[in-house]
Amino acid sequence: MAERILLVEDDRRVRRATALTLADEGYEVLEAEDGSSGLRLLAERRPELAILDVMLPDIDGFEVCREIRKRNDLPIIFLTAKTDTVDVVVGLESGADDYLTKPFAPKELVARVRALLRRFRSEPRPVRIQLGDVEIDPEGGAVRKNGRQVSLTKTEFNLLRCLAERPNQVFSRETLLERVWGYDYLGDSRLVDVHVRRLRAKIETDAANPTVIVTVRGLGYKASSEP
Amino acid sequence: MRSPLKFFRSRSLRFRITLAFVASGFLLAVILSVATFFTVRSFLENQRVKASTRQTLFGVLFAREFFQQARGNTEDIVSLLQTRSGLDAMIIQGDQYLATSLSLTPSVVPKDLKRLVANERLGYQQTEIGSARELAFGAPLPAPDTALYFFYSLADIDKTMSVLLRALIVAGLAVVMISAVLALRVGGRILRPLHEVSSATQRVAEGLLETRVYAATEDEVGVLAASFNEMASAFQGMLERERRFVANVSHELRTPLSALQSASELLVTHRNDFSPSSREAVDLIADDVASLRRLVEELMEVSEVDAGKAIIRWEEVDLRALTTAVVRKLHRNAPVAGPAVVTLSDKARLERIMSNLVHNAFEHGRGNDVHVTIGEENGTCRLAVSDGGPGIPPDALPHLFDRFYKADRSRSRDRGGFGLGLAIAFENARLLGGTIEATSPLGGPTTFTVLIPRKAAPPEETP
Repeated sequence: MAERILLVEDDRRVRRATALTLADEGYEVLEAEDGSSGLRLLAERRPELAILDVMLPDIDGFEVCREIRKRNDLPIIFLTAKTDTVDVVVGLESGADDYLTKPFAPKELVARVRALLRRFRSEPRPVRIQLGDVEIDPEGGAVRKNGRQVSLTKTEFNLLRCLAERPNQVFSRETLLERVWGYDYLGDSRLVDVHVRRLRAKIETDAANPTVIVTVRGLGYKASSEP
Repeated sequence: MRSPLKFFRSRSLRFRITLAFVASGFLLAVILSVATFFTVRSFLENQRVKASTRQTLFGVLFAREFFQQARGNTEDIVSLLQTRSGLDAMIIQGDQYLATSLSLTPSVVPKDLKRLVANERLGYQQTEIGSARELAFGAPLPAPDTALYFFYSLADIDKTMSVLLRALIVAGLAVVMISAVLALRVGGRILRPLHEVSSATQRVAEGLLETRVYAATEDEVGVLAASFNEMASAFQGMLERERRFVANVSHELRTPLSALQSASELLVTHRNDFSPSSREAVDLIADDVASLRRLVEELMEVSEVDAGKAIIRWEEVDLRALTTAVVRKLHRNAPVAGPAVVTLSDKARLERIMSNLVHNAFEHGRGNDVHVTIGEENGTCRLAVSDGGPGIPPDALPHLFDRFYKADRSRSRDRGGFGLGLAIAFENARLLGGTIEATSPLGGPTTFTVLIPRKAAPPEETP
């Protein structure tokens, strides 16, 4: 069965062209021209992935993203006009997994969609990992802190698992980009930083003084097995 | 031969102002001195003439009276005149003469005075005894062919005049010197704003359009500064409008081009479903849409840099890993040599630079002999991209980084060849505090070397 992709984009030409490209790749595309109809489609049709434009006529893309995250952990890619603006960080903070700068090459979008969906489908190997008071049960992707279940997005989970599988080993941002997002060296390291920040907010007792995911200055991040 | 006028005009304004000041100071000093000198002299001489006339009249009256009593004994008269009045006197009677001083002879009496006296009249005239000026007064005595002369020395006046002359020369020299100093200072003051305007013009020509001149005064110089500022801001506004226009046009073209590209690429995917001629048409469209989109992208990037809106994100970058990734992303095969140099820089901008240079090397070099060498010395990172020739003509080298410049016009229709790639690479290197140098020995390989400072900490905290 074809995977469903929600595409929220107000410019008709861009939306249709993108939809045609995705449909040609075998995906079923749900098109929405504004945020509210996008959210409605999300509830009615349960897509597997969402692509959101930041600039929308009613609710902006960030808000749509936050709304989606309240009830769903599906992968989200957002489209932004410029790479240098704070848009990228704001977009990632509101829960997106990846972003693309407009105008994007259709092939690039397809590659991102494919990579994200593949990672989300892959069944994690059943390993049980304990990091301080955080317990990862890859079976079913459950993470518990002090016994209480924490809900993570798939990207957050993959990031945590990548670090946790080799406790105390330092991973550079580039390595994490490659392992978690499938990028090469040229990926945007802000993806890693923002996701680490989001992950800490959910699993650290005090996100300002992290003990589970530790920053190694100048090198990257590591999962600490020390309590 | 250059005419003096031309020579004068070719000198600096400051030199000319000084010269004019000194010349007028000198002229003024000369006129004043000459006027003073002659006024004083004629005044002193007139005084002397008046006094002498009075003395002479007394002397003559005394002599006449005595002459009648002494019945013509001239010797007595002369000695009496000398003892009574202390005057220099001389009586000439026919060929004979009698004088109070040895230096007095009939020859010192001017002929005109002699004639006047011979006509029974009284008079005076200037004469010289030895080298000293004297006033000679003459009067007839009541005897045939007999005349009495008195002599008054003007030596003291001459002495006074020579002292005055010396004082006037000293004063004149002082005036000339003061005017020279004044001219240099006033000239400097007048010219300083001119120099400022001139160096400001230079800065504007170098592209610093925000340059303004400050003028404290509201005189002509102030007006000049104000007009300069007006011109600079008009110029700036014009460029700003032009830049905005390019940015707006590019921005408006972006979205439709993006949609066009998606659509055309979709058609290319299904090109085998078309007839051969349609297939060719589809390929043509896709190619041109793709290159148009690149042009718009590059224009956007250029106008962003021009508008000063470029933001630099400092992070640690491994130059070798980045270059290797760039080469791989371009689907090319080029060896990357050198140590792993890590510096704080902007990854996206460095990627832009290296991507453009490597792409350029493959497009314009002969064959595929492209290689990159990375190094670091004295705090400067070097990334050198070399191709396999055939080199760039020397007259094209200085223009390589100009926008829309194409060294090889015959290849202008090549993919992506807008002539913006190197300009963008250069602007990005400049933003990172570095530069790009190009060397190309005739017929040999061309090397583009990126030089960026190796940083340990960002220049300032980025938001």
